[in-house]
Amino acid sequence: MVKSMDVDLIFRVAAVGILVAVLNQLLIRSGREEQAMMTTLAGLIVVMMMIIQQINSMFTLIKSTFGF
Amino acid sequence: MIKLSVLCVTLCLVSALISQGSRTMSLVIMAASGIVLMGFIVSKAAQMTERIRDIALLSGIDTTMAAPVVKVLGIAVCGKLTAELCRDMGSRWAAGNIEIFAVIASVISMLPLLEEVLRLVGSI
Repeated sequence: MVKSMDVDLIFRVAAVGILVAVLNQLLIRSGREEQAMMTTLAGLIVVMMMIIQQINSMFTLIKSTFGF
Repeated sequence: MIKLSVLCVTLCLVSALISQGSRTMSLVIMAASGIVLMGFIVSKAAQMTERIRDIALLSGIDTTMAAPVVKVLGIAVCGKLTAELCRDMGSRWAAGNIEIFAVIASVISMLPLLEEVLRLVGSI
């Protein structure tokens, strides 16, 4: 079954997403579009750093599984 | 399988919820989920490829003949999942490029098998 670490990772990413979405709305409603963009960018970077390791292990798995 | 289905539906709902506040973050979550689930699917495919190799050994087929089959299977799985992820994220041209490249890569992977078959036919 999906390893528990992977599911935790997905839900951590979702938590960051929800947090950024709420902040994004707050900043847009208060007239600070630039800061909302920066918040989204920061969230994007945080999530990419979280899943970069997962991407690497997936590519290694694909190479070993299919003999590339 | 049921847990995977429930997980996928949950992630789609979370992504739809987040897209209200930030479209970018919902795309990021879809990509992250796609990558993790692709890793899981490939780990399950590993059992299949092991079985294909065992069958090839048992039946005395040269393993170089079985390798292209497994490679094309991998190209198909990765190409399909990546193309669908690109479509979900709204980039149809990227999905089309990936599918075309997957077909080309599959044909290239199958060429050694074709040569082997032609050599076999020629030796009869």
